[in-house]
Amino acid sequence: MTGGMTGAGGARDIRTAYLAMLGGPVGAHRWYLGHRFACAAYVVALALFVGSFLLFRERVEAGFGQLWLVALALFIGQLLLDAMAIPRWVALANRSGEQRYTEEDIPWPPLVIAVIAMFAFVLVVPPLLGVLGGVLGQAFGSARIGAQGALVVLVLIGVPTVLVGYIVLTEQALRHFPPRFQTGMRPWLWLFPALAFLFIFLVYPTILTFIRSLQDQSGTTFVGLANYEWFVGSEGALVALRNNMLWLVFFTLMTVGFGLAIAILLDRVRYESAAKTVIFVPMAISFVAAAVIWRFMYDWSIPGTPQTGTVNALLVTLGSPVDMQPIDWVRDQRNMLGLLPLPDLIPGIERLTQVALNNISLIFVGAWMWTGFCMVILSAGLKGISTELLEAARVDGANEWQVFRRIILPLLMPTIAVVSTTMIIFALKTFDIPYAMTAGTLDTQVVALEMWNQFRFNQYGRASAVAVVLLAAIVPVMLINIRRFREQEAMR
Amino acid sequence: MHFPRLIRGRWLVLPVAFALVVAACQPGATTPGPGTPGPTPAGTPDATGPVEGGTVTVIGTWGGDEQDAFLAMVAPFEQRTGIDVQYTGTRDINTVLTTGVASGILPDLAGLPGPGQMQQWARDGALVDLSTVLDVGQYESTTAPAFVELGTVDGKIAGVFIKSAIKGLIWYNPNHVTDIPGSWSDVESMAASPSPAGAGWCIGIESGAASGWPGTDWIENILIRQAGPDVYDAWWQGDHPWTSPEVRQAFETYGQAVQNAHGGATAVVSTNFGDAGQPLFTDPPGCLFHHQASFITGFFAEFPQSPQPGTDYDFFVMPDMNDQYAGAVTGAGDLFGMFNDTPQARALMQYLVTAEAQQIWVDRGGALSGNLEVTTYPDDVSSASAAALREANIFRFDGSDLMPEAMNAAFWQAMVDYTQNPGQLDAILERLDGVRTDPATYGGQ
Repeated sequence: MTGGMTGAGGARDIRTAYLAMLGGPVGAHRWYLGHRFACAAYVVALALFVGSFLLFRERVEAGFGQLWLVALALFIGQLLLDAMAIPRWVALANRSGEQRYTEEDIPWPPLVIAVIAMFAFVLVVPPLLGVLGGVLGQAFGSARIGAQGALVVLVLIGVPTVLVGYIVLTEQALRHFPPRFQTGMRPWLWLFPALAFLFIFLVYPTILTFIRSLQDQSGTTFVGLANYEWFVGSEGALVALRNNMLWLVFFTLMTVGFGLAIAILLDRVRYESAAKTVIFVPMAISFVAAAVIWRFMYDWSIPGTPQTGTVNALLVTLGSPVDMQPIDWVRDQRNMLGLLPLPDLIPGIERLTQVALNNISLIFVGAWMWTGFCMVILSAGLKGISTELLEAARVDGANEWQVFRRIILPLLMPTIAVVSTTMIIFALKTFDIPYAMTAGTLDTQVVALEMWNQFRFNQYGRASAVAVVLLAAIVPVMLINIRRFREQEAMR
Repeated sequence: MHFPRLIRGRWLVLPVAFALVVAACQPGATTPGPGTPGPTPAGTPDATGPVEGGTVTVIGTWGGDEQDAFLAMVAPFEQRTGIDVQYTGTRDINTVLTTGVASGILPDLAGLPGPGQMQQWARDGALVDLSTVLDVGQYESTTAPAFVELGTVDGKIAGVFIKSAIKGLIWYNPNHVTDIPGSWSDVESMAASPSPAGAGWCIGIESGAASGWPGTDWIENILIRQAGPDVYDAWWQGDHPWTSPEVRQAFETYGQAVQNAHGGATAVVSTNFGDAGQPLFTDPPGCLFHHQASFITGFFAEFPQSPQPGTDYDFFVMPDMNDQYAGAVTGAGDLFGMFNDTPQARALMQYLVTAEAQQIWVDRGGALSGNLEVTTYPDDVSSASAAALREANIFRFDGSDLMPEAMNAAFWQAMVDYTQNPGQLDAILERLDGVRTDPATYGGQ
């Protein structure tokens, strides 16, 4: 084993000589440990473990015992990483010729650095926060503002540090492995935090919810499908389902219908952008704000007294020739369309086949908000239809209605399909508007609100069952939407 | 990755070591967080003397004026002790506290939704036993016994009332009503022929998500007077069916009042409870009587007509309907409980039950106190209602507040439904019975 004794800096030559003397895997490891920083990091980490156990034992047990164990696991992981990388370092060390190992070939011990960072965070940050909070509290004159300010500083400094540090350390960890493995592993490591979040906050709760829906209220015994049986048998839940169907039909019809009509009517008109902005603006406000606005719009006052609700004011004023009475839009449950006069085979079926006025009023509020969305997308699709096609049709003698029905509509179908499925998903998910306007009373209950109610009543099993039903209803629509969207993208 | 020498290596070790030394020298300092308790280092010194500094987190349902009143109530305490009281108002207190009890993240003090929930949480061990916090002897001697009892679970004090209200008062305008009716039938006959007023009653049951609760007050007050406290107790505990003749009669009595209400059933359902009393003060008056709790005076004060207590509005307690159950009265109050036993929380709790604290809210109007040492009221009307509360022969807490949440919500909805469709009383009562007999409703209690 000759090793590289040709030339370079004195320190490196000593190291190489060291290796040459000791040779083999042992030597490579000594070489690694000869790198002062890595050695120091290992020593510091060990000191932290032992020291924390002896000096701050209470804190270890009370505060961060689990974190301590995680740190220990990382430390052992680092040892394993190093052990795995030894053959590579041996090869590097034994290479003769111009290609020398450089400082870059020696990775930091990333997991040990993570360990030190964890300890530093837990032991150092709270007192620092306290000091910073005190300082800011003095400056702003309130301890509470001081504490909040300290946290803000922590977040501003901490979040980028953690993100950048994570990337840096994963890079360092990857360098323990051969290059091909690196390129395969790197995307997964970079994606890992996002995927972890997704799993922890989306996938895991979904699985738990499904399991929970099979248990009783206290969560201790399995009751199979009892909660689902309750859902199907409970009149309130069925009314909620009926209302969601109403939302599905009317909300989608209204938004897509109005959106399409407005898009076509405004196409290539001089005031197009101004009008579109006006239609689109309601999307900028929150659902609750829209609900509050329309609560005032729908307000009802005693007939004969001045109407404070805009809609009723218009109704009474414009309808004064026929002595129009104000309508309580939010509470009036008259059946709008005498749909499906089903005989009363199943007791209470009548309640399930009503299309009550107040439901339509609520759906209209949602449609008012989302028409702009549909209009914008349909308008974009509309502009994608080549004008030559339309010109040719008009030259051939087609009137506007035929142009619309025979040319525009078929070409716009994929866009309409995507928009419709999106609106259907919204209709199934709807919660804010019924919650803010009626809280689900007066027969305006929707499934999402029913789930919310069951949570309020501490009926976790039933609430989970409702959530699963909602998920089951939405997932097929979502899949269709994604498929359509992909087809559309592919067509471009 | 190639990093400049500056970042690598040795530069890390020294600061880390220094920081460790600094940390090791810290005593068990508490992080001044924004109210959510994080991992507390062991060894926080127990307060043997008066507590100075620190924070207490409080959650309640109050917003707007009521929130200002509460903050005014705790202001002297904050000044004296330097403890920062951090109050958060939320309408969804039940959800917040329920998830809090499950997750362990709770405020120090919280307004409890009602005695029912308080019992649940006390038995779960989430609420601190206040007998260890308060001077029990003094508390019991200075507080109305009914309120002490309502806050006690299994012999331990779980909640205290920091303000209270009496319900079942009938408000009227002395300018238009000179003879106070002595019996309920007198009230009804006056309501049936109310001239010069437009109608006999002003009723408004709208209240956002809780619409219908004023109607439940009607039913409770009628039921306790017609059927007595035993039926009342069995009823809210879920042992007395809704379809029984007593409850049915109570509903029908209420329905009778709705028929004589200003604006008819639609107005009753659409008018907010706070605004419902306005027609009392119009000229000519829209109605003769308004049935509401004592806290409505706070709302009266905001009316455009600026009615004055005593001259423009006064009350009489809803008359007895059955001689057997004379002097029956319902009331309610704001219950407070303690979730985290910290020295600052103890200090605040001890302060809140004192007459001094409760007097502050009472002085602002719209609140009564269960503390027997609170004797000055802002006006004669409030004094009279406080006296009515203290001297009640039979006192019961608001029934719907005692029911489980599912039953309560169904009750509210039933009031709205019944007001709109009085002909469907049977179906409505059966639906209520369905909720009552659902094992999930009363099962937890």
